[in-house]
Amino acid sequence: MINIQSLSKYYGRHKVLSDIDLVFNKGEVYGIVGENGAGKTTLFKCIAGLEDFEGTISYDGSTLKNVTGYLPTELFFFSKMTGQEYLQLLSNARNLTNTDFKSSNIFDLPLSEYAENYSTGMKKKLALTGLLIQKNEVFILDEPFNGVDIHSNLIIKEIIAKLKQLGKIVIMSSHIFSTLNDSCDHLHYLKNGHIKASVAKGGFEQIEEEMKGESVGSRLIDLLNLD
Amino acid sequence: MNGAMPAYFGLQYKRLLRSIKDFGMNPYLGMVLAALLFFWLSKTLFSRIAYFQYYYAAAALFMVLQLSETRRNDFLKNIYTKTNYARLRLLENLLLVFPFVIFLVVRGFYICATGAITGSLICSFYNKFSRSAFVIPSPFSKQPFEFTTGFRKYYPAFIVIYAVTAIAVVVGNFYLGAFLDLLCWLVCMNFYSTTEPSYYVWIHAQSPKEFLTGKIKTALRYSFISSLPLAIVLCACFPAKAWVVAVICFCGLLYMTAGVLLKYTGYPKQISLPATIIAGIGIIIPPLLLFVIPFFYNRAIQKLTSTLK
Repeated sequence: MINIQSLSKYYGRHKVLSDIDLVFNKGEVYGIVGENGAGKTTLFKCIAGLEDFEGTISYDGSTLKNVTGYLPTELFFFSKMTGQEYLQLLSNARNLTNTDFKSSNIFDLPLSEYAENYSTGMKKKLALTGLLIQKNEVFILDEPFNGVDIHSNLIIKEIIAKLKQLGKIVIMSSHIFSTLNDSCDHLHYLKNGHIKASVAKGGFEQIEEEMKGESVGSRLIDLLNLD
Repeated sequence: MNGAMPAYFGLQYKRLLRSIKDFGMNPYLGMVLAALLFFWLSKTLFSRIAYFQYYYAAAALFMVLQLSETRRNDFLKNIYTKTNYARLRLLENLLLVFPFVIFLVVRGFYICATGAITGSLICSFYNKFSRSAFVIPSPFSKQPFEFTTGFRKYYPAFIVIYAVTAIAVVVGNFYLGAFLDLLCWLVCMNFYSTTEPSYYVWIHAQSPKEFLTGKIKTALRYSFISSLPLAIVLCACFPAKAWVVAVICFCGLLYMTAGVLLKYTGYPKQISLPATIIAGIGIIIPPLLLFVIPFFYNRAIQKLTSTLK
């Protein structure tokens, strides 16, 4: 279980996250929703241990960062590094002795080619494969469905379902509400650095309605003077 | 002429100032120092290397060619009109080649100067310089990433070093061979000159000490393997001077250790200028590295502690 208590984060004087209290249980999938700049990525980075913060994040297993796989929105790949070498790097980073990545290549990626030349979707799939190879306990997936094709979209959904079945903690964000509806057990609505609402499956429509009410749609109507 | 060109070059100037500032130096002082360094290096190399004017002109064109990179040019073509794009490319190539041309003219190498200008003008029409997708086999794939990617980027340097060392042996010039052996270590050290994004440090389930130890071990093992053929050939052909090769090897191991640690002294930022100067002095006076290495080590551990628990 991950227990977040009174987490706050400042960038200079600007408070990006304010007194966040959240609990993530094993075998559950959590969705974090919110508009751009709400603090989702910052929250993910704090949980992953990539950002300093005020407050506490405790995990009842080993050191959280050492069992966490984080899929950032903006991926970076070194030039002149093949897909296979990327997987080797992630594997070595966890002291795993994998050398045959063919069976792990669930997305049929061209692992012998340079990762920097992959398409956006392929890069995302490579990064996700790397996290799976690491045998993490916690998965933080920032926009995992962005840029991937329909078939891979289905595979990612299947992976998330399998991770849940294996008792892993999955925390994800997405701008596609239907994917969250299908995959998540809980949704947390983050607005201006605060958790505005938290609902379990069955009550997602409440958050969707709330977000719709605040979306550009209503303002667009005002702007265009429509009734 | 509209305002697009001044705006573009103004932006490039600002970027240059910011890059120098990120290096931990006053931008204006940095520009003066860079100009002095360029002048000193050019003067020294011209006086020491025969027919250097050809290499110099080639170096100028190689730099200009970097501006022909496909993605960069596609972006510029996308945002500027055809005429402005052509003018801009022409002007930026000429600006870049200008310092080289001045030096060539002052030295009286008019043909090379004309060649450099002509080449830069031709290059302004060439905008499809893309890096090859061909995967260069690397013997260092098991422990990515510095050596794996570094070898692929700099393998021509290894070919030249090995080939010239062979020539040095044939003509009986030990000191040229020894210099190339040292150069081989410095090329390997260069693989560690850029700090990686914090994600690539964060992924390691290791303490800062374990992380650094692993990096140093890999660096020492692979750099030793890279320079070993040179050391063997030099020792076999000049057995009386084997001790010089041993000293170079020892210095090389110190350089590599310092290089790896230097990379993380500013983490997550890039290596600072003062640290680079300290390392530079250490390279010139290797015994100093015995003091520099522990200093870099403590600093690197301190910097990595926030990311690696």
